[in-house]
Amino acid sequence: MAQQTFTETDSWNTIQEMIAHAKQEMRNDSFYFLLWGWLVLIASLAHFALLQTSYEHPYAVWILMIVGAGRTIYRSATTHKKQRVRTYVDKFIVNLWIAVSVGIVISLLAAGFVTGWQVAYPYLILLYGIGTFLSGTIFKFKPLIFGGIISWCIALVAFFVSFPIQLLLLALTVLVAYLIPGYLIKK
Amino acid sequence: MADFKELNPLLHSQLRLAVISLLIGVEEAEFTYIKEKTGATAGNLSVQINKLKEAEYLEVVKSFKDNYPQTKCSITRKGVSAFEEYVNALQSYIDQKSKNV
Repeated sequence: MAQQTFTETDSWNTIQEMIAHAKQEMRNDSFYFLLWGWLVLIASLAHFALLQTSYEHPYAVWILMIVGAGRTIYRSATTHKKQRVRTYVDKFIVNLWIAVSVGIVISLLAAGFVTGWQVAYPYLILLYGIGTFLSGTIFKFKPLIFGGIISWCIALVAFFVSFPIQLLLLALTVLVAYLIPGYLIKK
Repeated sequence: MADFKELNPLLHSQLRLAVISLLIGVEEAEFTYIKEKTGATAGNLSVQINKLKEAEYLEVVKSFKDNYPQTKCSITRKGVSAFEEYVNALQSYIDQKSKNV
């Protein structure tokens, strides 16, 4: 970069150029949406299917989530190591999904020990909606914003239906809020 | 010229302004990243970063990553204020120009 006669127009152009460079770094990473989308879709549909049979522990399919957690921790650790720049968007997204995950764990614990599973899944869907909607707004990516809004509508319905139907609604939620936006980001 | 605010001479240099503009949007960035984005040589960039550091516009942290030295830069509060003032001053120049056209 040359130093000579540097006018105010040059300054303005330099600032604009650097903003454009920084924008390119916003990584709309689809990996996590696809990973969790598929895992939750498979688990919720399998749970629903097993409920229709006489299988004793249909909820056992949720053990799949351990695979998701392990893969998420491994990937985020390796990505963090390679990262040469850390944006405020990156930091916000990580903290947002930590908050959503803590909310999910608290909802599950409360459901397990206090209120019963009937209210657990509608709250999960509500939390998925918050995470997806806010991710969409910060990435300025409409499919995620719509995915979040649809999740909230599904959450409202889920409070009024039976547990097996809630499982189907959960599968629908991850389809519209995780999988469809995830594949669209990948494109 | 009375209407013009003075442009901070420390920032009114292409490379230093590029570094600050790049860092204003991120929490921190490695030296190699800044070098790549600004297209500057390592030596020149190092000199300009030191000037910004001396003015307390930047915080520079040197460490090791996989046995290689690593330098990370981030903008300070003072740097953010200086950049804001610079942009406002620049805006007054541009506004004045458009009035005169």
